[in-house]
Amino acid sequence: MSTSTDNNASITQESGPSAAVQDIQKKIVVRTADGEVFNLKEEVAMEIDIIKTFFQEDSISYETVMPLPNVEGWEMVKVIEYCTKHVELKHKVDGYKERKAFQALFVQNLSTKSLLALTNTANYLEVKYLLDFLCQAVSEQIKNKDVDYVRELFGVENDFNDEEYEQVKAEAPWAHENLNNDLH
Amino acid sequence: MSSPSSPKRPCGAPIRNWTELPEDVTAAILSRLGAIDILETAQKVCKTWYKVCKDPLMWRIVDFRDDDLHKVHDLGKMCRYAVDRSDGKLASINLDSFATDELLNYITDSSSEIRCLRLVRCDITSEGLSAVSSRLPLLEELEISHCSLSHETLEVVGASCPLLKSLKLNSRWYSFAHEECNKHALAIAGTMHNLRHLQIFANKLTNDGLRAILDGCPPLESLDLRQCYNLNLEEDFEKRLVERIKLLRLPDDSTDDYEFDATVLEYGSDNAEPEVDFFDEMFMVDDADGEVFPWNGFVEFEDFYYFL
Repeated sequence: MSTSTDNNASITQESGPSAAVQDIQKKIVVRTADGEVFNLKEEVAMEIDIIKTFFQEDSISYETVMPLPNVEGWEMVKVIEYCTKHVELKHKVDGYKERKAFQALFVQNLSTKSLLALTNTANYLEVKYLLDFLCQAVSEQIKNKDVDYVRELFGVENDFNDEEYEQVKAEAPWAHENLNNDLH
Repeated sequence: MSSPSSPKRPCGAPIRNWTELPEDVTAAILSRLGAIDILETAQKVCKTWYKVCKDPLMWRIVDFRDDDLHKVHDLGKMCRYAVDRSDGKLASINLDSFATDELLNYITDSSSEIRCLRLVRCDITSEGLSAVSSRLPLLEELEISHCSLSHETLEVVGASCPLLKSLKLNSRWYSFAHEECNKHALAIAGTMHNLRHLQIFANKLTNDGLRAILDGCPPLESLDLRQCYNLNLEEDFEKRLVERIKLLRLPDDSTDDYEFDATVLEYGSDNAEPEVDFFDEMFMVDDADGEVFPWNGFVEFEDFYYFL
């Protein structure tokens, strides 16, 4: 995937960030499970720890295409989108509102299933702030909901038997309180 | 790809079910829930989640902020239960109006590693907090919002908690009762020398009190002085402030991002808690120095009738 200019930049093995002067558009290439290939800007790629480690720890040349067999193409698109925005906002003094707006849009059309896949992927790729955000987004879907709703939304089966479930409920020392106590 | 010093790397194989997520990720999700949601819902969903919810590490941070009052429970009991689950590892706890001196005593008795304590509208007394301060040697963040606590308590806390980096001491501004008072400011300046962040919303301090704080808290980099209307910041002083403090909020700055109700309370006005408002005139609280200030505590409706 390298062009002739890339060849010039990476003649020596030390084609890491310090060589950026020669080529500011340094790219890192990854291939996802479905065979899709992505060219990432170096500064975005370095946000993804698993990629950063792969290239930096063993000083692997940026010409190498890194395989990501556990990641689907659409997931990579989302991860790149988030990391790119994160890098952009790093340099902004007052990016709070913009970040919030972006985050709201980011998860807007994600099904619960997709959210699950993306959370797992963010964990695997080791992008901490994306994982934190996704965990927060998932927890928002659980807040103030009852057990049945959560089970259905997340497609999780109740694997307690009746006895076990009664035991779980009985662990709650407040369960037998007078529920008509309205003082609070 | 993995180096000898790296922690166990997630294997990342595609999963079909939320229960197949690595446990630490599930914990990361569920621990973001408030304590009530964890105990009432999350842990009952399935065995995997139950197991995660039992782990003491999930209970390092306990959040009982009462956003939703539709759930009616003995929150004091629930809180004790949550603290027990932390198995001594409690690091951070948010308490709301259900908290009492007794509960605070219980919490600090079983947890020696508390770094962050948040008290909002709590039914806690100055004596109550003073009494437990010695059990909070690792305290780094303290919030006391809408609780009436004396400046002596602040001094005791300051003396007992040398690692304190962040203090929030938030009140309401009363248009009819805002006598100048630097007692809390001086308590802070005199005992909390490691403060980096200070939020004293609607405090009654004057310029003198502010100067004392700036002198007494050298590492201060964030200061929220909104609604501190007794301050009179001339150009020079304000300039010095701006130069010294990275994150500065001045008395007239916007309260859009303030988490509590910032309405200035007028006597007899129609506010969210009219009973409390009316009471403030009748129910002034004295501290040991005869300093009088309005009582911001929670009021039972039955008590209201009793005092009429």
